[in-house]
Amino acid sequence: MHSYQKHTVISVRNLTDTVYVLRMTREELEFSPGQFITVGLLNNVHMREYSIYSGVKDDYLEILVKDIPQGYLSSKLHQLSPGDEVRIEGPFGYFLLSEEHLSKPLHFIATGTGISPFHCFVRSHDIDTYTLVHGVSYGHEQYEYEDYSRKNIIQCTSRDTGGNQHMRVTAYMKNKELEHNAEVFLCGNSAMIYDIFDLLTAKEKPSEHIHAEVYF
Amino acid sequence: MTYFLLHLGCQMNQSDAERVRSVIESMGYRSVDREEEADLLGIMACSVRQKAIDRVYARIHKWNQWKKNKSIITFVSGCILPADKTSFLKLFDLLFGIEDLPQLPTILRQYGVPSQLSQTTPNDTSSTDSYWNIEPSYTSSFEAYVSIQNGCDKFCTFCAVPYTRGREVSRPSQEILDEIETLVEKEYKSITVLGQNVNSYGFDKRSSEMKFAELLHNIGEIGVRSKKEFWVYFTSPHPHDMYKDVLEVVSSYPVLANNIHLPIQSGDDKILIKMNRNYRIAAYEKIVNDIRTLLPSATLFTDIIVGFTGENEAQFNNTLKAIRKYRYNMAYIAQYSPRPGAASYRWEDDITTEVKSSRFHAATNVLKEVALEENKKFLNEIQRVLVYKKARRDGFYEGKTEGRVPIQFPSDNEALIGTFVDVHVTEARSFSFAGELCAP
Ligand SMILES: Cc1cc2nc3c(=O)[nH]c(=O)nc-3n(C[C@H](O)[C@H](O)[C@H](O)COP(=O)(O)OP(=O)(O)OC[C@H]3O[C@@H](n4cnc5c(N)ncnc54)[C@H](O)[C@@H]3O)c2cc1C
Ligand code: SF4
Repeated sequence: MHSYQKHTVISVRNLTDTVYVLRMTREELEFSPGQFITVGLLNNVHMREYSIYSGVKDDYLEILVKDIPQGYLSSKLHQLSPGDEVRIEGPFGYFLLSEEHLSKPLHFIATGTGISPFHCFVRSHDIDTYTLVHGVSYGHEQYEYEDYSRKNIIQCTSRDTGGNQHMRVTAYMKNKELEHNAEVFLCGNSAMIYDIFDLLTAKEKPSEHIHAEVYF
Repeated sequence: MTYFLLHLGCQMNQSDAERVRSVIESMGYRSVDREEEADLLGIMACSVRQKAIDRVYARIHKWNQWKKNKSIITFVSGCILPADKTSFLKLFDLLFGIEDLPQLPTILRQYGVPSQLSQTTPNDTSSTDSYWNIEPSYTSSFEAYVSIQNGCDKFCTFCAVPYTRGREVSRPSQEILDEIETLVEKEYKSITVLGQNVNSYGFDKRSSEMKFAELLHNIGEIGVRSKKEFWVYFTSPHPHDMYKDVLEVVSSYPVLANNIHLPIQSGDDKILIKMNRNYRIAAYEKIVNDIRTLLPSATLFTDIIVGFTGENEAQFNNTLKAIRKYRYNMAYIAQYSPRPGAASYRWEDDITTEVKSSRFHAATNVLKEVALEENKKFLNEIQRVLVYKKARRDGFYEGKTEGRVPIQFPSDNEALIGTFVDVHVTEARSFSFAGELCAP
């Protein structure tokens, strides 16, 4: 049975020219950090998946979206105004931090808007044992880094020197030694996820400690 | 009044079709095999496969042509994507979601078709629970499918089911047990418990319903109480929720059949990640090992997709390795094709048709080898067999073993259909056996 919920847009917050946060009413939606929802316009059949960006304690619901001009929905969502309504279904997914994970060293690795579930993790859980490696093209693509503890975040930029590291996430991770009990969470494009997965399994990291959410 | 119902797609749709038949027949309609003779024409459609959708369009265009000369009513239901729904609405007289099935008589009455049932007060709530309460009109007298759950929350990136059938909803346990008990009383011999994710049964109800292992345990108890011989199967489980307790229950009750369908989809961890399957090969292997330990004589079936977006040669070879290692008796191998609605539909379908086809043949060949080796283990053994039908070959009948391997044996006794017999296996082939009927 389909059980769409209507949520009202509260604001559209631009972080860069193409990346924005869509804040909506929460409508009592219960979720676990790391889950995604499907979002669509009213009277339109097309839905897309988006990780939840806001925390479980926030009284609003947010998603972090990249506007893809040649795409269908992401650019339409960008044009919404406060008061507009959207259709939401969910939450879904198993990209979750368990109680057991919380006591271990955590490595969050994201490309682009793949940072979204990690934002939800740090807003929802009281954790400080994480490092977040964020891969983007340019140094100005700092998606609300003030919400993370500065010492925990490493920005890898592939096209300019504006980040902490001027290299791809994969190159950065190549030389990194992870604690034997670390849990690794990967989110974003599949090319990065595949490369890091290979890198870690070559270092004999058991696959059950590598968690992944593929966007495309 | 007559009706014709075409069902397309999987066993879930077949099971839903049995309920639709039941409602239509209770309105006084009689089923006909020739669509030309029907007053009411319906399709249980499946948006999940393009071929099935093409068949819907071919049928409805034909039926709409007939409307010029006679008065007929057309309807469509089933597993339909929202986008297909929009176009079906323009082509069919009626479209209803399966959860609205109890309202079908009212819908037809509003359309101008009177019936005995439509005189009764309709249910004003349409819930999946009430659709499940409709007793299906089973198409076989010894084999039945029992839906226990509808919808799916897993969102495998290649699959449209979460978008066509919506969220996972479990049917109340007592209703399922009652339906199975009734089937057993009616001497049904093969009962398949159906759901998109049978083993996540009850998760949506938190603690208010039984979990899958507990449900199976209660089904096993029906078997013990009835003292009757029958086999209960379940399909499809998802490896992510396949806990050992399910296998332990299967091993404890003779009516829970020694056949496990465990879809692997790919033998490569990275492809599994991209498919959003939520298990790794190591975890899958652990379940296979548990099956081999707890159910040593069980046959193992699986589903495999070859040529998924981005699948390289090495990744495909991991799938071949998996077939060899897990030694399947049967695998439903599909060449990847993007399904509208599914996440991967938006990704580049970058494996050529030729490569997909050659991988399909390579996988099928490995499967044939492995399945033959596995089947040879049954040579010269006596297998219990449920007889299904007269074989196409004259003088032969066809049945299935408990492990669901088809078997043919010489006989001219039609009365065997729907009964259990013992067959001595004299020949093993990749996907079937031949044998001789043992003296009763
Ligand atoms: C489980 C899951 C969670 C997701 N969570 C998010 C999220 O939190 N934020 C988000 O922006 N997207 C997310 N996505 C992707 C999102 O669902 C849409 O695919 C995306 O917004 C594009 O939709 P569209 O209709 O505009 O373009 P479409 O017409 O659907 O796609 C156009 C193309 O855009 C590319 N693309 C898709 N997503 C991205 C992206 N994020 N960055 C760059 N290129 C992309 C793909 O190559 C795709 O083929 C998620 C996808 C999945 C499967
Ligand atoms: S393939 Fe995946 S998404 Fe589709 S029905 Fe099965 S578990 Fe659900």
